[in-house]
Amino acid sequence: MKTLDNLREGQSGVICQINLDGPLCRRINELGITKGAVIKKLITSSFGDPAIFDVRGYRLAMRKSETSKILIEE
Amino acid sequence: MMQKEKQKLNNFLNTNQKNTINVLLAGNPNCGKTTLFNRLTGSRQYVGNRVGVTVEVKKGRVHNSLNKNIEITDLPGIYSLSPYTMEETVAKNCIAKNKSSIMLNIVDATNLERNLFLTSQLAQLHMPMIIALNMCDIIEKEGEVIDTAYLEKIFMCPVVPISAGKNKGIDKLIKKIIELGNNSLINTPKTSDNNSIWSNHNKTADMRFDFIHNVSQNAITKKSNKTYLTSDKIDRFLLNKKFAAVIFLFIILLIFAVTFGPPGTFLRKGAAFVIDDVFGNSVHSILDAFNVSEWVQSLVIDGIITGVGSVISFLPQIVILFTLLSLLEDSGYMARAAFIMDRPMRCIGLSGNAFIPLLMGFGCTVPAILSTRTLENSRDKKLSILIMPFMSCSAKMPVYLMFCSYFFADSSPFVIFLLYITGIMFGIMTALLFNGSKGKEKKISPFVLELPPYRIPTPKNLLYHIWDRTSDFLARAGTTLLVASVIIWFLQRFNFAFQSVDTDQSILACLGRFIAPVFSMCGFGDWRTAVSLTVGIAAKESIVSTLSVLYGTCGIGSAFTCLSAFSFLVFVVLYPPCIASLCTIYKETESIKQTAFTIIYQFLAALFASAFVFQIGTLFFNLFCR
Repeated sequence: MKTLDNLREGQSGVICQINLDGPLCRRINELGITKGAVIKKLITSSFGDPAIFDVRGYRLAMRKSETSKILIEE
Repeated sequence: MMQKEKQKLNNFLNTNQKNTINVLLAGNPNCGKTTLFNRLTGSRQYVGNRVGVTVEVKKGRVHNSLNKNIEITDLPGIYSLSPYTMEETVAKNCIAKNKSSIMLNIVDATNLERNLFLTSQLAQLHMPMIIALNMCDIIEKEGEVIDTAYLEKIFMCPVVPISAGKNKGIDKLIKKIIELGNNSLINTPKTSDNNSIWSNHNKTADMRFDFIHNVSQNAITKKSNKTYLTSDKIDRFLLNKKFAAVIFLFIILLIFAVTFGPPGTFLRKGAAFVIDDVFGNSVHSILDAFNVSEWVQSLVIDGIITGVGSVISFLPQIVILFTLLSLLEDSGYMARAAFIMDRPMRCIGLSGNAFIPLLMGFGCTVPAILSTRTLENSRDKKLSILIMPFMSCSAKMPVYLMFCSYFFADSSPFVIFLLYITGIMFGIMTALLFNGSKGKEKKISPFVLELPPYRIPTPKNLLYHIWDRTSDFLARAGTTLLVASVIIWFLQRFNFAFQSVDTDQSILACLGRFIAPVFSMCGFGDWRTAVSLTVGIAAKESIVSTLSVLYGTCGIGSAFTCLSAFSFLVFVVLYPPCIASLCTIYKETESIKQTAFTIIYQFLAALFASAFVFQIGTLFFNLFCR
């Protein structure tokens, strides 16, 4: 298991745990970041953060502060 | 219960038109709601390719061959029924208030899985519902097929494939709305929760998505996801790790160069020629031919044409700027700009999301302030609104250009660039001063942003934008600027006893001399300048029209030195925004305190900065140029 921010560009994994809470967690869930979803890292920003992910067939940008709290299985 | 609902509906209509069908248009952000709304109602609401273009509820009437009264409400985009940002709250409240309407859920077929999440929530509201599957033309082009019959069975409501952009399936959609509207006034809503899928209201997002994942797998024949194929390739280039920031900077500079460089200048000179030489002279000869009295001639020529005309010649450049900004928006690059700028924006205590409204602020402050509703927390919103007026809006362009043509003809793009940078620097400093995270870095709000696929901007949409801007500008020229010019002309011609006098003894001169001393330390203590700055609060362009009327044919060339002209421009960049912006600030922050603070703070900032420029500049000249 590793955290989402440790994925390299082009790598993908299956979300197994989300260690966030409150409205942000709810919002991330509603955007399709839920347990069992397949997620792939596409591009990291020039400044190293945030990064773009492919989840449920669309593109979502998230920061390390959030992605480091999402656990995935490769 | 039904009786009550009906009564509510009638109350909502507050007339005896029992035949009115009310429709709520809901869907995810950026899935084509406003495009569909425009199609259905024939109106021209602003459309862009990013999340959060529509932040307000808009109403319209649907044109249809059956002459039915269909009223449709365009809601801001929502990802779910539990709101996260302010514009989502607006949408949710509107749904809660209008439960007896028909729910028209628009779904982006190219992004079925995420869009159906909201659909699954809406289906539990027990409102009569129609699903409009948008962007079906793209699905078709990609060689995929969507099983609409299957979706109808799952969601127990009609599903109509449409393409709002290509105008396909709209007639069928209207027909379905009318059908459902007629039924729903008599029958109970079709959707019921007898089916086990909908029995649990408190489904977690996980469970919902598990279910929806299966539904969308079954609904689409082939899942190759071609939507992002080209888009990802473009992103790999534009968001390339090494050059993304450079490319972004290049794009911004290109916009600046086109607007203020040769293309913009050429168009302005053309417009100025038409207004002054062609239009002005012909009006002059017409007035002469009709033997109109001297004062009417003066009013028309020296007041209206000089005043309003001086501003209208800048229209082409303003339109160019807006066109380029809307190109950024329509193509989908705006969200990428937020993505690139997220890290730098964090340094001043804001997130990348705040960058989009701020960039729009270079166009017009009013819609830019409205679009801060897309920001998730109120601290970000307040801070963005506070620094927004420092992003020099397009109404200030005429002032810069007018002064540059007199004083900095050779280096005008450079001087204008410097002015924009001055504004941005003050914005950054203000954000650093007031971001409220003293020591604590944790306050910065999270950044979770959808990046839509790139789309080629349609000429039609672009023309809408251009027309929107032009008509808005001309409306302002025809009202605010016209009235201001006439009043200024009148006040500078008469004294308090309403006798026609020399400008120097006029009412305006007396009033102007009262304010002028404030500005003397900035190098522009003349009463005419003071008057123009005061009138500029009504609309920034009126600084130009006022100066044109007051200085007349000899122009501002003799009234300023290069240095005082520059310190004047610095003042214009920084001083409080126009009335419309101030009203919007008040409306959005609901705080007299913040509005008053904006005014005082910006006035002092402008006074300080321009005095600083003038005094240091004078010192410099005295030391080295003598």
